[in-house]
Amino acid sequence: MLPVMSRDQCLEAFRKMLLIRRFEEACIDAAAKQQVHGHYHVYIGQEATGVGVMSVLDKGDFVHSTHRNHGHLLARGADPDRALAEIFGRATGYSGGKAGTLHGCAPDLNFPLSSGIVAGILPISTGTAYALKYRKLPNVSVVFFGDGAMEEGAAYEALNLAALWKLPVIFVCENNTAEVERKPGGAQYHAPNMSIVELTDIARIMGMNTGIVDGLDMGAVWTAARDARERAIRGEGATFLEVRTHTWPGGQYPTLVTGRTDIRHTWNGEVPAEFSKHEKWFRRNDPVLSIARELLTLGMAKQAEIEKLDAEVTRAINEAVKFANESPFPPVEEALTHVWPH
Amino acid sequence: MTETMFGKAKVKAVGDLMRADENVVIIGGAGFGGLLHSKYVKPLFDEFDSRILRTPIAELGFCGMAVGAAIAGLYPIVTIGTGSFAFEAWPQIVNEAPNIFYMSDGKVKVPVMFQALGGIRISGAAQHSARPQAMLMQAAGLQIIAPSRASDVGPLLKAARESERPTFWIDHALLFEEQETGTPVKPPPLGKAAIVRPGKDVTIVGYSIDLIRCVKAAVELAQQGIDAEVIDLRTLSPLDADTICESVGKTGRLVVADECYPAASVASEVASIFTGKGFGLLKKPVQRLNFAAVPVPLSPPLEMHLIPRVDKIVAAAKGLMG
Repeated sequence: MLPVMSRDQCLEAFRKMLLIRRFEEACIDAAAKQQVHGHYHVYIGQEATGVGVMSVLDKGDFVHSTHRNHGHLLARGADPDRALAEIFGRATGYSGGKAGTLHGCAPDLNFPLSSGIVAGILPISTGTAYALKYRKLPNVSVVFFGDGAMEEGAAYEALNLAALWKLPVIFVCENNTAEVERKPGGAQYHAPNMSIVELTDIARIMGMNTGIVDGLDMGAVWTAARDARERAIRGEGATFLEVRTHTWPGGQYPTLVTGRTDIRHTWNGEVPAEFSKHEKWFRRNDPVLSIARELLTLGMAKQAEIEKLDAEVTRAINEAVKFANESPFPPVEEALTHVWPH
Repeated sequence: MTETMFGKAKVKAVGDLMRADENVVIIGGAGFGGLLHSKYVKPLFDEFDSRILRTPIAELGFCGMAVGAAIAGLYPIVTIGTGSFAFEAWPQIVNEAPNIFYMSDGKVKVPVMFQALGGIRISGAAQHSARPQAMLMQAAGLQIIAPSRASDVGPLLKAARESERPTFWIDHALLFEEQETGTPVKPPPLGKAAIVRPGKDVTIVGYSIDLIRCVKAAVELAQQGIDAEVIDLRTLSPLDADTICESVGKTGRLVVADECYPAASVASEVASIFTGKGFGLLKKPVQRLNFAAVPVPLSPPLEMHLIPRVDKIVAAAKGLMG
C-alpha cells in the first residue's frame, strides 16, 4: 500500500525510488568501465525502505548508513551529481574524493559519514541520539544497516544502550534476503548467519518497540517509521524495525544478471525469455515496479506519466554521469588536507 | 615443481600444515585472497571442508574462540579478511592471546595464527586499508610474520606453527599474483631476516608488498650503476637487528620502505637500531619511506601519491649516493 500521503507526495516518493534505481544502474555501468574505485554495494530492491523511512523525517533528524548507502543518500535528498562524483573519486564529490562508495556523506543533510564496518555505525547513531536527547531537541536518529550487522557484537551493545537509556533511535535493519529460509544458521546464502531466527526478538527482550515490515510495501514502511519517530519524540525510546526485501538477482557479484530495469514491466507482464528464472523478481519482488503498479491502480499516475518521469530521472542520472566523468580528480596536495580541524 | 606465484605458494603452505596434522583447522569468514583469487583457494577449502569453520561477521567472537581452541589442543589458522577487520577483534588479539603464556608462568600455550590481508589494496579507502602491524608490535608476546616471497611462505608458516607462539601473519592484498624470479634464497631460521639481493652501496629494507617494491627498485638502481643490498625482514616481532647492522656496516646507507604511518612504525623501529646497536655505522641519514600520516584516501591519484612507490625508493637510494 502507498503511504497516506497526497498524490504529489506519493509521486515524489516514487521519483526518488526511480532516481535511486537509475543511479545504481549507472554505477554498475561505470564500474564495468573501471570508473568506480573499490568494491561497491547497490541498493536495488530496497528503494521503498530508504524512501519510506526518509519521508517521515525532519531536517533536524540524523541519518546514518553503512557500506550500502547510495540509496539512503539520495532518499535524504543528496545531489546525485556530487554523490556519483564521490564514488568516482573526483574533487567535486561530497568528500572531495577521499571517501568513495562505502562512505556516503552529506553533512548539510544531517547525514554524517557512513561506516564501512557492518555494525560500526550502530553505536555512533546511538550517540547522536543521546546528544539530541541531552540537548532536548525534538528529533531522532535513524540508522540503516544490514542483517549482517546483527552478527557483530557492536550491534548488541548499541541496542542495549539505546534501550537502557530510552534514546530516540530508529534502528532500521534491512534484511535483503527475505527469501532465505528462516532457520538457525540460514541457508546457502551467507546471511543470515544467526542462531536467532527472528531478529526483532533481540530488541524485544531488551524492552524495545519492534516491527517486521514488508520492504515492498512503502506504506507499511512509512507507517512503521512514522510511529517509531512519534514514540521516540514522546520519550518512549528506541524502535527496532526489520524491513524484509528479496535479494536482487543481479546483485550477486560479479554476475550481474538483469541489467537495466524496463519500467514498462509495470504494465507489461512479459518477462524476457533470458530472464525467466527471475520471473518472480519482475512480477512481485521489485519495489519500483510494485509502487508503479499501485500508482496506476489507484489512478494516481498514467502509463505515459510514469514513462515521462522515468525519462526525466534517466536524463538527470545521465547528466550526473557526465558531471562525474568531466570532474577532475583532486590535486595530489589534497591528500594531506583535513587531517585536523585547525 | 617449485611454486613461484606467491598466492599459490601460500595456499600450498596452509595445505601442508593441515595435511601434516589433523588438529590444524581454519576458522574465519574469509579466504586467503580476494574474490578474484578464490579459484586458487577453492581446492584447499574443498579438500579440508570439514576442518573449516565458516563464521558469521563476528571477528571478536571467532578470534577469541581461536584462542580458546588453541589452548585446548587445536592449531587454528584464523582468516580475518581485510587487515582493518583485525580492529574488530583487537581485544582478543592484543589483550588476551599474547598475555596468556607469560601470565600463566609459561604453563598455558596459545598456538594460534591470525592471518589478515593488511595494507593499501588500492581504493579501499580509510576503513579497508589498515596496516595493523606497527600497532601489533606493541603487543608483547605476539609474534608477527610477514612473508613476501613464494619460496619463503611455506618455511615461515611451518616455523611459526612449530614455535607454538601466538602469531599474526601480516599478509597483503596485492601480493597474491606476485611471481618470484631467479634462484630462491635459502630460508633462514624464524626471527632472522633474509638478504634477498646482495649489494655493497646501499641497504634497502622492506617486508611484504614493500619488499617487492624494494627488489624492483634495486633492479632499476643496478641499471644506474648502484649496487643495492635488499633485506626482507620476514618477521617484525622479533625484529632481526643483527642482519641489518651487518649490511649497513658494509654499505653505510639505509632506505626502509614501510606502508605504515611514520610514527612508531616498522621503519622507525628499524631506524632506531642505529641509535643503539648500530650507532656509528651510517654514513648518511636513514631514508624512511612511509605512508603519510593521513587516513588513506579513496581517490586513486591521492592514494598513489602517498604509497612508498618504486620510484620513491629509487630516488631515496640515489639521494644517499651523492
